[in-house]
Amino acid sequence: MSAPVLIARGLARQFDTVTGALAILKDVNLEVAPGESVAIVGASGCGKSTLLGLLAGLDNPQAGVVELAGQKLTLLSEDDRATLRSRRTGFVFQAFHLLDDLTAEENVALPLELFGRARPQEKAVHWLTRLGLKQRCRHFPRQLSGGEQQRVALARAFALEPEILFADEPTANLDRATAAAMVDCLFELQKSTGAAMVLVTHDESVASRCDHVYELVDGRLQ
Amino acid sequence: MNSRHPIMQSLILAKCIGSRLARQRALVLLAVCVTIGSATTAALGFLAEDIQRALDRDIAHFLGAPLVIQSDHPVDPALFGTHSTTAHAHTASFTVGATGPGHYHSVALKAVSEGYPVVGQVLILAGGNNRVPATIPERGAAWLDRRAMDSLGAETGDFIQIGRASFRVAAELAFEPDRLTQLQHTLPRVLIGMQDLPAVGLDLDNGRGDFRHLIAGSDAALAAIEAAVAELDIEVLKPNSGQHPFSRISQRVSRFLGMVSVMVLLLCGSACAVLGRFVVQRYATPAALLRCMGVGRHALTLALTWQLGLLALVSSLVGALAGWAAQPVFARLLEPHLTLELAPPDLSIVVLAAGFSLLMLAAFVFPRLHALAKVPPAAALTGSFAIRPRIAGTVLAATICGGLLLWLLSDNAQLTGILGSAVIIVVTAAWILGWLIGTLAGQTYRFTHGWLRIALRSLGRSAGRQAVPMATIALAVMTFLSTTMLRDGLLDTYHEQRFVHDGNYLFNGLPGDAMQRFREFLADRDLDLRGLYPTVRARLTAINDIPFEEALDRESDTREEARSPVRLSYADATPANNTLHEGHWPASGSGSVSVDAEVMSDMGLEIGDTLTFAVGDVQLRATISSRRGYIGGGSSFMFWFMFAPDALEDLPQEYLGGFHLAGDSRSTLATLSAAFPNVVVTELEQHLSRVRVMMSAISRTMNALIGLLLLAATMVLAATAVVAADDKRRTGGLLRAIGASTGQVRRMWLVERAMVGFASALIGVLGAHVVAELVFRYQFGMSYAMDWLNYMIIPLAFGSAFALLEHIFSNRSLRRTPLQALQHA
Repeated sequence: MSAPVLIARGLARQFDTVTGALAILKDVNLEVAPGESVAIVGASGCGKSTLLGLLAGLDNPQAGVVELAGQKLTLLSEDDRATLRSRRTGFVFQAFHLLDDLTAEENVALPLELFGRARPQEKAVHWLTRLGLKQRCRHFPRQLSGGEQQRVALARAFALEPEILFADEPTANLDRATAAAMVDCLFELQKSTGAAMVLVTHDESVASRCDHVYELVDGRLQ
Repeated sequence: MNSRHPIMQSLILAKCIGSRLARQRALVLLAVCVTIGSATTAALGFLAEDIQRALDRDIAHFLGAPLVIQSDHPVDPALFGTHSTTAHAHTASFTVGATGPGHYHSVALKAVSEGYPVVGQVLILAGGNNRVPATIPERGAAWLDRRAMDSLGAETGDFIQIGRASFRVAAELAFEPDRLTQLQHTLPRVLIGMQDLPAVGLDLDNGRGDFRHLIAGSDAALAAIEAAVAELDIEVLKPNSGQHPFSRISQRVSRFLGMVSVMVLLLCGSACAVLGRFVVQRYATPAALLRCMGVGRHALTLALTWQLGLLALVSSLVGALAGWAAQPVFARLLEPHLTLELAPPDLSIVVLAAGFSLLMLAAFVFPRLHALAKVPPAAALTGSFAIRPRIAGTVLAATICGGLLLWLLSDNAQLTGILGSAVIIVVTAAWILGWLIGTLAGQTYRFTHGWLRIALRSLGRSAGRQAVPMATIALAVMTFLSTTMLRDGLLDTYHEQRFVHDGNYLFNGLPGDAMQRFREFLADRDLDLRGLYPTVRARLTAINDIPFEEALDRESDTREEARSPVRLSYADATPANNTLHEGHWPASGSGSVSVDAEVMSDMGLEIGDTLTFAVGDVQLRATISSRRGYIGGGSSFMFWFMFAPDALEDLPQEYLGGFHLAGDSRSTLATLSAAFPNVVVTELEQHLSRVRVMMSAISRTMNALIGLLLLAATMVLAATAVVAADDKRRTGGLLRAIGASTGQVRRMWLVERAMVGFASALIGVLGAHVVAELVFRYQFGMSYAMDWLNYMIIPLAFGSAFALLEHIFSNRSLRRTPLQALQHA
């Protein structure tokens, strides 16, 4: 068996509140193998998104280690973590986070342009076509529906051909039919590209399609 | 809640969401902008009133009578008849050298007749600091003001020498009703009786004195005298004539203050426009939520209006209070050249200041609030909406109200027109340039790669949004630069008063027939004569045979200056410190004159025009043969009109020039003063120190005003930076989340902001150039030349500074982790 693409050991994160420190994550441990899909479920506010941010290197833990593609994130600088994200990871946000001034094609091409990849437009169109948005390439986010916006975000995440994809409740803002279509796309792309995936959701049916399902309870994965 | 009266409902709402407002950084900035605008309006309003009052007081004192007949030679009162007047006195004033126990110094000597003063009382100090009324000094006595006593090292009881006469210092002069204003006249003052004047030995007919008849009487009597004097071509001064130099000083000061206050208001208004849009946008979500909860549209609009209205009221009152509190500071800055008597707060100025803040909000914030209430709650909650106030109506209303306010403040339609036009030009140029940059960036990004490609594309796509900050920044640069240029220009006019000459003493008033004796006097004492210039006192009476007052624009400053006698000079060829721009040097027997280039420009003269001068009873007519400039600017003696020697040699002449005197000068100067009573000697250092003190006071005041502008300009930049930082927080977080380094994000922003800063500043510099050119020419009657280097250096510097400011502001969001940045956005 090949080495895990993601390893988390003893992760802890707490926030300062008016009533004192609030521990959200306590001693979280996780391993994700290449091509494997992992779902993290749990009640609202239990810290799923916070955990995903730590695993993707978007935030810093107060204790513990995250090892992504063989590199310990806690030992890297912010810019080195950014470089690692650009080469190894993709991220799909619950709120899509597309840039309003850019067309769908430009949003997808953005990371490719940023890191000097060849033929960014061509690749962007390829991914959008694959997700059924060929006719929407020149449309701005405000001209797209929620489902379409999320598919653009998905295309952007896969455009860099990541080793691991992080998805933060990608269907939370979508209706049932659109969400189902979106999930189909997500798993189809994950399987075809061979990327690992960490998916945060509270939808049991979505979670059940993953290889492993963990529940975050009282700051620990079970 | 719906059962309550809408006004009550809105008040409760205003109270409920008030605490949320206080936490908004943009709202705090908005309050600060309103406060600064209000404080500036109030401070400058109070200051303008104080200055006007002080100048009015000095003008009244300067005249000292309802009617004053002024001449540069003694005028027999029988010529205009004073039999029907109720009071009459005459005075004669000269600038002379005086020697005291301590020093030699130039002083303003005034001899006064019986009956002086016609208006007010002369006050002298008696028994310490008691001011007591007095009439005129007794024979052989002189009254000196404190500055004269200090300058000459004299105290009461000492003797001073003026010309050939010696005077006992009988008292300290505390108040002189018709003294020259402190702003212009800085010489120490000496008052003697008219009966002592002949003993001084001055030549009264050489045109160097100022002879006045102070007259009071019935209106009919004064009108009759005025009519009689008009036929004699003698000047008549009245408090309301508006022709004396102090009216011009007063006008210039109030124009400058008006202009600065208009510019500060302009900047504060711009900052309010930027912030108002941002603040209202921030209201959208809470407003939508409240409407979902059942709050009526009108109640909501009213609630937000209450809050912003209260904010405007409090800010403007704080501003007005601050403006009033700043009065003593300005008074202190202007001392000792203008003594301000601070008045109690004028309610109309406070109302004006409060009106300003309400106007700013009415123009820039309230229409957006009204438009916000029309946005459907669902659209506001999903963010798919745009607040579109009725821009045309708002702009029209703001233009009308703003124009009225500017007119009220500046009391000057021309200035308002110049500034208004400049603002329209700059704003239009910003829109056009913003569009051009957007188009250019939108087309060229395809040829670039990486972060530069993203930065250019972002700039191209957001061109519409860049126009407002660009216009705002351009206005800030324009107002700041043009005011600074005007300040420098006004100060330069004082610099031009410098005489940098080889000698350390300057002299004037040497009669032509005493020139040889004066040379010998200096040679006997080993004094080195460094310059000697023949002059003839004359009056310019006509241009191309048209009386000069008709030939020149009534508002022309040159017209006012040409009313006074001018010094004509002559030379065989172009003097060493002169250069001919056009034409040839006046040839002997040609009846031609060479004229200063600036004077020709001011008076609209051309080569070939004819000028007519009056030298006593002699009429001198000459054709302009050349246009002449000076090498080294105002660093030497300069003459407006220069002739060939034969044109002037038969006319009464006097000389001026300079000499060098080393070591102890007191006894030499006292001897010189006794031998040549008409010659006034000025120590160069004394002259320069007077100019320096005056420049320093004016410079301090102008710097304080520029400081207000700088504060307002900083608010504009802070406003644009706050709005931009909010917009960038999300973009930066996202770019970093997908792998961009902080360096890449920072470079993108730097390029974007540097381009916006450079372009805005370039428009601002061009706008400042236009404003300075127009204001100098039409408001201050001065010529203006811009340093072209500014066109490049200032925009570059400003672009860099703006990018640096952006860097500082963006650093905070870049210090957050990408997740925090996204959550915060």
